Formats: sequence, structure tokens, C-alpha cells
Amino acid sequence: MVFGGSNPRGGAPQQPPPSGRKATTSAKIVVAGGFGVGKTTLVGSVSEIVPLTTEAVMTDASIGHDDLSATPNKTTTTVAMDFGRLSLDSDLILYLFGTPGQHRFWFMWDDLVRGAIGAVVLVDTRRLADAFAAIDFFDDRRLPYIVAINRFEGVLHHRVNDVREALTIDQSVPVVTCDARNRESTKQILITLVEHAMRQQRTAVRV
Amino acid sequence: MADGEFYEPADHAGSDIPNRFDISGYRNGLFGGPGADLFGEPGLVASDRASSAWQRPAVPPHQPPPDPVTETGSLVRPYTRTGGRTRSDYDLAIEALVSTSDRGWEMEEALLPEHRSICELCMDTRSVAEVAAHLRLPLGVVRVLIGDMAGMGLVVIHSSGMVVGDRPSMDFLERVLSGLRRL
Repeated sequence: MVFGGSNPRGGAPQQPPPSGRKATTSAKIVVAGGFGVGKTTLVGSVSEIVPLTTEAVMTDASIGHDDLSATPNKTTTTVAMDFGRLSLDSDLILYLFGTPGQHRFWFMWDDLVRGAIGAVVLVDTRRLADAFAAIDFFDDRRLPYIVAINRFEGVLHHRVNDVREALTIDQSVPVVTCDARNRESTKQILITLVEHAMRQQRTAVRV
Repeated sequence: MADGEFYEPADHAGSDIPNRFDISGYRNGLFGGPGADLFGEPGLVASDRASSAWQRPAVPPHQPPPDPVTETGSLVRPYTRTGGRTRSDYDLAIEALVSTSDRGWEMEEALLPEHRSICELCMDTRSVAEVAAHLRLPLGVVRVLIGDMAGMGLVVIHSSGMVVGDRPSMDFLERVLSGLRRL
């Protein structure tokens, strides 16, 4: 499937918003990490709505066929994705999408990262390996990301560098600790990510 | 946005007038007949789920009204709703914002159930992902439906703007950053 911005490939042109309503813009940040690491908690800590769940179905739809009736017995994989919403201004909405970080869900990651500001890779120090696939993917796509260590039982600060080393990530990638339940902490995480994305873009321009 | 900009059209159905004062025996005499719609409450925001509950007091407020589109039982394959099509003419991002157009608002009575549900939801500007979540339909299905509706002029897709290539522009990042700092 090819997805991207909201530009029509054909058909009717985009219209101005209905009378009396101004156009609103949306931004997207991806929250990746293993199961149970606290993605939905993190999304929920800043979201103005109770996190919603949407499903993407991996069927022939995902590999470009137009008609599913030819394969009525095809098995499907459904991936649930939790997301929250945050109004940053009267005409600016930020969406946070929490997604499982396993290889087998890559079919929907392309969709997720296109146009995204960046990603937060949420890790549990007891299960660091859960983050590898996500980090590889974001490195490959050059999507700005930061690593946020969720403090389940209070992680010692000196372990941050151990985590960086274990994940073999670049020195420029911020590795921070957070409390996914805490709104202020999550807000800081998002600020750190956006600042990192801006730094990365400035560097890219210079090169 | 429940800011009162968009109102439900007058209720012509004269249907289920709520019994607010618990005088059930007099209900038909007092609230039925010609002009019954005068008792309807003006100014309800159409997309507010609670207003549907208000019109049908028998339905508990937390349950959306029965609607074939929200009932996505496993008996119906999801892409049946799109005639088997899995792609849309529009290339919709999951965060792309959708609003009901004036035309969609005016034509609401005449629409297919799926389209009507989306028109009702998008009286408030919502993302494609939110529409999918609220209707409990897979993202792909909702993309096709919204793409069709955009082609028919029933909804407006807000332009994403401020994107350079695949990435948000620096100006846009600045806006997001200052928005986050204000939280």
C-alpha cells in the first residue's frame, strides 16, 4: 500500500474547509516499543482523549491486490494500534501513535513513519532486545528518534549509558529516562524528540 | 470541536420526543401531533453522541445508537463495505484530518449509512484514524470510504501542508515545539 500525505492522486481537488471553519493541521509522533512497556500509558498521560484503538488488517490489501473475493479463506493478521490526541493550538493537532515494535508489524510502519515528526522508542531495561527492531527501522528510514527508558522501579541514572551501549545507538540520539504515567515527564519526552528532530534537520541541511 | 458552530438540522421526524417530565400518560396528547417538533431542543451539536441518547431516552448514554456501520460483527467481511476495493483515489495519511463539508451536511438524509456515520463523526474535525476507531472499522476500509466521500464532495480533507519531502518543515516543527511547551 502506498500512503503518504493527504494529497489526492486523482479525482476531485481539495476544497477549502466548509464555511466558518478554518483548516487544521495535524502532526504525528510514533511511540514504539515492546508489548507491556507502557506505550499506551505514555500516550494516555498527555492525550486529551482516552486513547483509541484502531486496527489495520494485513491481508492482500497490504500487498496491493484490489480484490479480496478471490481469496475468501485467506487468513488475516490484525494489528491494534493505540493512539491519543493533543491539541497544540486552535488549528494544530498532534497525534501520538503507539505501535508494537516487532518485525512482523513492519507492513504498517511505513504508513506510520511517513510524515511523522519522529519516534519515541520506549524501553524496559529488563527487555532491551524488544527495542532492536524499532531502532533498526528508524535508523534505516532516517526518522529522528529518541530512546526513553521507562522507570518501572526506579532506574539508576548511570544505567542510561549502559543502555546506549547495549542498543549501539549513535551518540547524537538522546537517551532519557521517563515515567510513562506522568504527564509532565511525557511532555518533556516529546519536547526532547522535537528538538532532536530539529537538530537533525539542521545538520542534514549543512551536510 | 464542540464549540457550537455546527448545529443539528431541525428534527423533522417528529419521532421520539423525550419524556422529560415523567408524565408518560399524557405524552401523546401533549407532545404528539402537529407541531410536536416545537418541543425539540434546538442547538444540540449534531456530532455529540449524547444528543442521540437524549432523543432516545431508552438508550443508555454510553451506548451509541444502533447503527449497522458500528456493528462490525465478524460475519461481515470488512471490505464488503467498499465493494472489495482496498485502495482509494486519495492518498490518506492516518493522521489526515477530515471535516464534513457543507454539502455532506446538507445531504445527510440521502446518504448511505456508512457515509452518514462518517459525516456525523466529522462534524468535528477528526483524523482518519479516529474515524476508524469510532466506527470500529479497519483503517484500510475507512480510507476507501473517506476517499469516496472526498470525491463526492461530502467531506473535506485538510491539507497536511508544511511538509518538505516526507518530513515536516522546520517552521512546522517550531510550531509543534512551542505548542508542547505551552502545555
